Amino acid sequence: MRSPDHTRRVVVTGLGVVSPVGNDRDAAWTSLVEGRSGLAELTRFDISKYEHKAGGEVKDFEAAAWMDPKAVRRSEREMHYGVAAAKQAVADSGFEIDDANRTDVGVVFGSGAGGQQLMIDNFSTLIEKGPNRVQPTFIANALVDSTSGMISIETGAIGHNIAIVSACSTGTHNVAEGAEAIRRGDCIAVISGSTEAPLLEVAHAGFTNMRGMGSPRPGEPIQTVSRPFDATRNGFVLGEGAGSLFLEDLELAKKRGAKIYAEVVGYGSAADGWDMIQPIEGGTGSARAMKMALERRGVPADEVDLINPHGTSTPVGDAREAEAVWAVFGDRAAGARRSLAISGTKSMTGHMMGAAGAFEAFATVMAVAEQTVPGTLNYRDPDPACDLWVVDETVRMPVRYALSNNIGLGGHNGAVIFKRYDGD
Amino acid sequence: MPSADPARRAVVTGWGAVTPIGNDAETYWSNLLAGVPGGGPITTFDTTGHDVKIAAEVKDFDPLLTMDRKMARRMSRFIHFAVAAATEAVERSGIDFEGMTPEQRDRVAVAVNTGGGGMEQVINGADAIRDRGPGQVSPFAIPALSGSMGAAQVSIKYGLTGPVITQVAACASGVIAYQDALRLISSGECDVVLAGGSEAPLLAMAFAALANMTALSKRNDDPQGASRPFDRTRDGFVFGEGAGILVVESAEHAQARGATILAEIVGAALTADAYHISAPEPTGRGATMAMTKAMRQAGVAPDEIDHIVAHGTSTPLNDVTETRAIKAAFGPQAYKIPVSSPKSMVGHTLGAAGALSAIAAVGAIRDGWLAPTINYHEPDPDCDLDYVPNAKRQSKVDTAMINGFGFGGQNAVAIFRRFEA
Repeated sequence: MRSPDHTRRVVVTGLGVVSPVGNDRDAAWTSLVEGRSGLAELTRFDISKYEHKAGGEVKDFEAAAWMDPKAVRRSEREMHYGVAAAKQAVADSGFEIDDANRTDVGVVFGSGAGGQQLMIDNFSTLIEKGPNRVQPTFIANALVDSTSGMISIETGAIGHNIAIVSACSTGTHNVAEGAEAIRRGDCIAVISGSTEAPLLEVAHAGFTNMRGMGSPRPGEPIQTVSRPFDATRNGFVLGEGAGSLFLEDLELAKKRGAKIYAEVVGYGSAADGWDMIQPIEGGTGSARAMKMALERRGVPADEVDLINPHGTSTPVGDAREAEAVWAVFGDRAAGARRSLAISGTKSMTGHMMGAAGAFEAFATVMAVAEQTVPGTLNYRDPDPACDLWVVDETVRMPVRYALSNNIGLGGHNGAVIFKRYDGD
Repeated sequence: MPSADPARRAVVTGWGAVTPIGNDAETYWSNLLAGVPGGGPITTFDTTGHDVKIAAEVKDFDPLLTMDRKMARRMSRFIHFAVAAATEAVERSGIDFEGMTPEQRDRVAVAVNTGGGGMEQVINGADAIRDRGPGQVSPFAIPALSGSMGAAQVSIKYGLTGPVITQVAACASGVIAYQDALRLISSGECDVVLAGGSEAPLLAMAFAALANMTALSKRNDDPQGASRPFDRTRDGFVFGEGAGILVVESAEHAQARGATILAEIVGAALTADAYHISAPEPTGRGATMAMTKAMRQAGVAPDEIDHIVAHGTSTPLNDVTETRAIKAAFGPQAYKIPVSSPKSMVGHTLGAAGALSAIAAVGAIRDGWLAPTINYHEPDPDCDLDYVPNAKRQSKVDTAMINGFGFGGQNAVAIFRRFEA
């Protein structure tokens, strides 16, 4: 193990993604840039009895392409998506995991709720067919850390292995803690990310009864259901998938001539201590997380050109997040200033829950690497309560630093900052 | 991002210039490509006792080609330049102001900026009082010294009754005219803006002051080689004079009259250093911010900028700070972008500099050739970008940035792009 060095620089060298807008880096990024929504009427269960019909389903995904077929049968989508994204990220990085380095390559990969479909299926079996028919493998495959374990099996990365859970900011925390593990000396490289497969009828019913789900603009297509920061927003929509970032020590990446997407420079984490569902008044918890992310390594706030916000399209959540952005960035955040771009990708993916932070870290890293900010789909009517520069059409512009922000149920706030890699 | 509405897109349809290397824009641009130096010994006053004896003077300029004799006699040299450049730009663009209704001319603006205006009027007036008495001061001295009179004379000549604007921001002045033009068109306030800058500062007093400030090159024995932006041996700028004007109009207006569109103005920004009366802030933060903001407004990323027409004055401080700022704004892309300084040929024309840079940017977009930075022989380790040394270069340019940085810390940037309907 290497010594801790908190000035050690960590970069992103590989990306992987499974999502409602595409099942690899290029497909998903192209969708975001071209404003193609991944939202549609749900097909996983009979939606006819529900008022809210939209969701962001992963389409045309073949789990057996990424995992041993027997392991596929014993697990469920949540794990399949995660393993696929992780293996894509490793392949994209060009990093060869071998006997010489495998103990130094870690996995920091979470999920909000793990493999709940397995729990539901086995509970149904128990009721309908009796205890002897319950799968002996289901518990091991249904845990929140099951995916991080399977990633180590599938990739051979047997260093530090952990799954962090923090509801909707799970992805943010896993990516950022992955980078910290490298600085801490635990690993030279980390497969980071998170996964979620929440398109279950019981979850849909639960969120419906929580009155959190949104509906399309009256008389308009179902894709308009998610419209973060728009004055007419009225709730979120569920999505599913996974995102993965391959992180490594800059020196290592340079030595092997790796393609560097961005540098991971800031990380902040804070709790609201307020309510299990609503974010705290003024968004003060999220503001503290963002501020901590700036201060940790001295990121100049006025050089942050982009925020990928939590922006779920809920009336209260988006307003509180806007307040948090103002608290940290001041009137630079004002829409009319066109200084701090807001790119709400949940407008296209829906809310991928525990995977949201990882997918959005992917989108943020791509924005930095491509110097391109995806437009926020469906943004039309500015809300005075969210006076932000919500970019409504994809724009090419300088992105020096970009922040990915997430806010989780229960008051978990996470923020991670990526910096354009300038070759130094 | 620039508007998609053709009525709100600002395009360039004509250019005009008076410069030390040519008294019309086409000659200026072809001499810029050819690397023709504009410096020479000062001819307008006796330089005995002066430390600096060289300048980039406009030669063989006849104000009577575009102004009547009486008005020319009353007005200052920067006004002569402004009217000449504007007349050329209007003629080149083919725009017919006479054929317009008064209401249409209400929607035509003039933005001709300058750093110092008609400074000679102050000197002449003070001399007249001292030598011949107050009765001998020209009754036109005040209008003729006003910085705004260049723009006003252009407006009077063509009956243009929209906004007539003169912004003074030292050496950033010229670039700011394009920010104003973009604003006036994109807001829908105007259909046409004649935009540029003019300066005629080659007065003994100004030379003495700038020499005492150590801003000027003292290479009196090498007037054509003295302006050497980004070269390690640079020792100050060569003082120049001139004017440049572009006809900027809405794409809709230009297309309706079948005009040839040379380029589009897609973004501009202005920031300040808040640091010092003449030195740039050493980190170049304000200049970086101006470049970044202009790109953001234009909706272009660093890798889309094909060419930078630099402020590049040939002073030790400016050139290193500008290089630093470009690197901060563009990241690793900075090394891939060819950076040219027209000042290597025309010297520093202060308030006209931005307009002459704009012509260099529009010319590069039109012709696919980059003007060189001449007199570049010894690389400076602190200035390590591609400065297009000494010879023009063929290169397709879709998007070009111009920089103008003023004494006092104003940083102005504008971005021009090939027009696509």
